[in-house]
Amino acid sequence: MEISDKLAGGVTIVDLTGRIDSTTARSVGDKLTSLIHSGRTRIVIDLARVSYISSAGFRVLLVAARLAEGGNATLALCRLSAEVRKLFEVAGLVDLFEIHQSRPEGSVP
Amino acid sequence: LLRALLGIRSVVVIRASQADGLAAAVSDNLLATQGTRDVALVCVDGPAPVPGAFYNALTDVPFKPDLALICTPAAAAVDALERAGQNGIRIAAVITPDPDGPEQSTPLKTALKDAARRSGCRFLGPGSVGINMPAIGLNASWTPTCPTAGKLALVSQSAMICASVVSWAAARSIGLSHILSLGDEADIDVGEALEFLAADRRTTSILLYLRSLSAARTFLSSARAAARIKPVLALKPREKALPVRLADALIDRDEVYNAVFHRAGLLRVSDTAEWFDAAETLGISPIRRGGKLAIISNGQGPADLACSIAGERLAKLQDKAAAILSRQLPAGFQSTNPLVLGRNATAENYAAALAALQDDPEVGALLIIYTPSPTDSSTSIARMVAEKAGGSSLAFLACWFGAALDDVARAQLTKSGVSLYDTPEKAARAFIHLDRHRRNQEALRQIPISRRHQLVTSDTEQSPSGRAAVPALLSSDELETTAFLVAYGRIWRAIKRGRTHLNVEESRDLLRAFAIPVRPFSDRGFRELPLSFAVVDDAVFGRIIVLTAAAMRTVVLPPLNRELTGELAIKATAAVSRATGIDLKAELLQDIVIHLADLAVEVPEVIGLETASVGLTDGNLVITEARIRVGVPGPLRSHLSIHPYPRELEERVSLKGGREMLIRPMKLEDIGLYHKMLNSVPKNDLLLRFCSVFGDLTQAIPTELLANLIHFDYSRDVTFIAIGAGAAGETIACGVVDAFVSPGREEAEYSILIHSDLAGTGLGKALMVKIISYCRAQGVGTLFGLILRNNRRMLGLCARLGFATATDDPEDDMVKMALTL
Repeated sequence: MEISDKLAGGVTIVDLTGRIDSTTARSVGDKLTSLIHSGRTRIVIDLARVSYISSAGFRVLLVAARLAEGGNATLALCRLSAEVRKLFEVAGLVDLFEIHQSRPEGSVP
Repeated sequence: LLRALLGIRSVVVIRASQADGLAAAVSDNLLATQGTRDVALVCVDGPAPVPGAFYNALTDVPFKPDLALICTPAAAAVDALERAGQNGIRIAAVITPDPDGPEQSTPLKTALKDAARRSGCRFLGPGSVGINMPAIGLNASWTPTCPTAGKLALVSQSAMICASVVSWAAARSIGLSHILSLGDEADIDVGEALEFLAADRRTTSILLYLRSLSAARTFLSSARAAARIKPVLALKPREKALPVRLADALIDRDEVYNAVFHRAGLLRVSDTAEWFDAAETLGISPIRRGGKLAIISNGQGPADLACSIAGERLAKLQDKAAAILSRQLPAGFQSTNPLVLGRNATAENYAAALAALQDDPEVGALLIIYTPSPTDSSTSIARMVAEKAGGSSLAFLACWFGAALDDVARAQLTKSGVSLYDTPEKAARAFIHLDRHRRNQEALRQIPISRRHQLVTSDTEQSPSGRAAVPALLSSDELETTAFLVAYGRIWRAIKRGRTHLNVEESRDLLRAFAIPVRPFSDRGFRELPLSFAVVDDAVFGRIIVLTAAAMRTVVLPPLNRELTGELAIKATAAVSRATGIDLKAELLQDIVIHLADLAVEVPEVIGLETASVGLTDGNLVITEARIRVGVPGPLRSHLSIHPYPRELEERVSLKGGREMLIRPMKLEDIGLYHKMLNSVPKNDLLLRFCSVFGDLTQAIPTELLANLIHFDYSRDVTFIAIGAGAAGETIACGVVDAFVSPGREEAEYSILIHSDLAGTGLGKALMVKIISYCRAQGVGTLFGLILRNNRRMLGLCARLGFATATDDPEDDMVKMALTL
């Protein structure tokens, strides 16, 4: 799992590459938690290069979204791959997240 | 860290000039056992009372102390610790008690912890007795006695227990190796103390006194590692803490602690005398095979006393043994257990009885009781028993109850591994200790793997809610079923809507996703049983599983497997059978307990679960309904006290030449394979891997050291082992890589060893890639290794993997190479 983040126009884009499962979920969760605690108010996670997400992966995204809400921040997802979107649909979690088709304007992948 | 105490050369006591009782006692004891060590006394508040070993400041001391004993008034303790650290002292015992009591958040403890962090000086206490180490002849404590050197170590959360036990043991000439008084455990805790004692070759058994635990996972991890190597005997009074609530019932915290000790491989004892008796028994006579106790005696009364203690652990003799006995014993004697041979029994009668019982599969241990008799066969019977015990797979216990036994015969018994007791009750209790210890050791060897991971992932069944089945999404190497994902998503939808409990349908879907059979209460033929299952959240130990069968309650810790639930299932089904007359298959009950444990492990969102009714339908054990409480989980795996085996980290690799290897996290049972590997690799390879850790590499590597070098706490560090096939197809360890991760995960130090026969096959690279990806996934900042300058192969591999030279001093044999992750 590769994780990187950049700030563009007040929006923090988090780029993830690989699988978010029980092996990698911890590092994803830690990254999101530290961004929220550091005061980032608008975070968008780009899932275009994520091939699989397990319940452990859903958990860190859901917990981070909740943490963001409590800190007056927002956490959104964008560019879900077809495989990952299918997993969100099966789990019935699509409407629990703010999901966008594309990256925020001005941010280059 | 604590191991440094063994080589201690110098000690400083930091105290007030007008010492109180504690400081004066510590100073006197230290000076009395000083030997060739340097000792200094530093007064923090003015001129020293007398010249000589007294100094006005730490900086005046003409040598660098290895250990500081802080006995100042509380107001000066923090400064004393900080100055000790600034002067290069790495370990201290804060003997000064905390005026605000044992709570962790007091001003003194907070300040001491900050001072330790700043200055780099770790400490025991506050409120520690100090350090009393008879093994090296040092009494750096206020306990007035330094017992004789022995093989038992004591680690205690209570200062007064330390002081009392030291005197108690000294009065009975019982030797001790080390006495570690933890005080309030603001820094060094019971886990670290156990790790030190596990690795200490002078200690064969550990006596552990516990008041309570707060860091469940680190305790369990250290205790499990220690108990693998040597017996750990826990004495713990009942806790006054609030009981755990389960519906309308309350679970005593003691039931939870019993479950914890069982999984940690610790033997719990009920009083001080039993503590020492059990330590002696387990130190002398490890049980060699499972089974129950058979008693051979020349008197009915003493045998009955032993039977009353052994209870259900008495063997029921098999027909074969009974038939042999009835032929060989004098007329009028019954072939039952206990086997009473009568007051005129001879060595031949005892020998015949022993021979008949030797092969009885029900028997695991023999207790030979001899009471004074007119035949005076004491010596001949003792010699015969010693002879038979020598080559036997049974455990032998003996009691010469009031009968004389000469020193030669006594020595013969001891040499043959026969444990000798002065009363039948003590001997029977010793067997119970052996048996419980063996069971605990078996529990310790178990590494349960979630069975949901073994379920077939093609999930085409009809959805329980009646919706169309969702086609399988997951390939064979992906682990989660569609049914599970559906149930999991519903939990979060409930949480998002602010609900604290799942509804009936959501609960049933979740149970079914874990293969737990659910049927409506209205099912025709449903017969309710006095059974219930629960998942409960314990404040210290996280999720626990509670099984209640006909009012008999059992607490177990997840994760679980068939071996860990066998005995519990047999007892529970027997209780159900007694109450209802219905014979329930133990396997059915085991399945539900194991799957519930899987659920508790894998769904931390489930905070509590209680079944409403459990019963039989068409021969299947089913649950009609469960009340499931949900909530937002804490950090990863923080809901468990035993981290499950991380199966997802297993990986198959093909080496050059086509040889297959399995790289996976090391398990406890791999120690033997690892040991064999180390003993077979060339000494030069060992030197490259361990440098001087093992000292003299021409000697066999001690298991204690080895076990201490391997990580089994999967939440903390990990050791990966490469398993392959040997020349004869046998399973062998081919390589090992591990990483010590710093507490804040800023960096990790790796170490690697592969058999030189496999050099150039790609195994080294495969192991390095594994540890790099693991550390990266764990969020480690930098991975580094210290490599011997002449280990060109490793230096080259690291360079190819992107490591850069971090430090390279031509004067140093080692080169540090680091990779930013």
